[in-house]
Amino acid sequence: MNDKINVSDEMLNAFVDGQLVTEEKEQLYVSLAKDDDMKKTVCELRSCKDLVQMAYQQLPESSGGSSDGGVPGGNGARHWISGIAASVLLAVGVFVGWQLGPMQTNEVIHSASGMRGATNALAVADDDSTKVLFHLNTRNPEVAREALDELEGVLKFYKRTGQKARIELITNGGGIDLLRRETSPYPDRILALQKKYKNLTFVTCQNTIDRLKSEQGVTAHLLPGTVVIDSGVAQIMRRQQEGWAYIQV
Amino acid sequence: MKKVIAIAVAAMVAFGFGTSAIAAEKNPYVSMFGGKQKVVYHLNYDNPKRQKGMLRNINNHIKAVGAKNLDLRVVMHGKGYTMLETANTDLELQNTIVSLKDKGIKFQLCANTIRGKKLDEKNLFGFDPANDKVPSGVAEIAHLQKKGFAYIRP
Repeated sequence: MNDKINVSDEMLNAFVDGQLVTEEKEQLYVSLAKDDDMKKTVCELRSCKDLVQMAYQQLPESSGGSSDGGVPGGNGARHWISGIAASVLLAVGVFVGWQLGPMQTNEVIHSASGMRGATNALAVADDDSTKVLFHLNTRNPEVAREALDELEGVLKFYKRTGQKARIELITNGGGIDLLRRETSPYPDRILALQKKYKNLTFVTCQNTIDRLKSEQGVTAHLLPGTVVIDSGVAQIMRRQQEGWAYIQV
Repeated sequence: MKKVIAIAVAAMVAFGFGTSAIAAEKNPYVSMFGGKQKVVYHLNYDNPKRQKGMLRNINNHIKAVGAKNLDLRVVMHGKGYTMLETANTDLELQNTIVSLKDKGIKFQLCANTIRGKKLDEKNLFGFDPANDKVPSGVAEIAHLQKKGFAYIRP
């Protein structure tokens, strides 16, 4: 039996527009989780929708506020409705990102909007939590051990002091070796850390994986739980723009 | 009469902005609106050459920005503390550290490191446990970045 449910484009569009009823949505989430192509289509539709919204966005006016006295009633109501539509879209987007994100471990997330989904998946953290990004770009096992020591130390510190935190270790260049099954000097420790701290994520870079393949003919097999992002450097910039602290090991 | 006053005020404002713009041009790192440049240097390696290189970077940083325009802190953890041990027997290094401190640079060491490596605080050159100790080096660096400090690890 085929698991895939046939979902029409109209249905997906309605989903992206937030026009489906709850049961339909639930069904769609289930099919989305199973179908990578559909995921991609939804991502594309979402980014398309975002772009259209951005292009037609009116000048500074909060989504809920149609208090502008000069705007005629009908217009104000339309703003109000589009405000609700935007909020629903945002909620759906966040929810989809949140639902799909954890399942996409060890799988690259394409396209600009997909990347946003990935960012959501990694950073569901509340805004008041402290977010720290560690960066490892050497294969030196001693430095890698220091990196693990440091992130474990700070995880303990935040736990002890009752602060909400998210920690991410991004590896690129030689740093990827720490997360490769065939090369990692500390695979057990990494798995144990992941198990112990749900707010810790190990990340590596697709560019590095591609380079290993093309320059050395090596296929990287990653430790379970490793998240792959497009570019380590881009991720570092994104994270800092999102308010993450950056620490090079 | 009102008009004359208005023109005078306008001229004064323009002149004021003009001079402050010139002043800002002289030192591009000083904000027209006051406030210090905030920077944290991260030291967690034990290579003495590299450590001294970092202190040289800091010195040049101060020269470019001006000590009074700068809130610069060195946060040490991991192997970074070795710089303070080396300074016990290295007079040149001692002088560099002291002169940087005179310019308002703070050297801070991670309490976790002190505990973890069972360091003798008396054996760390110029270390004042009351002022120079932070609970966690990494958390301190994260905290400072949140407060707008730029992160540099030479």
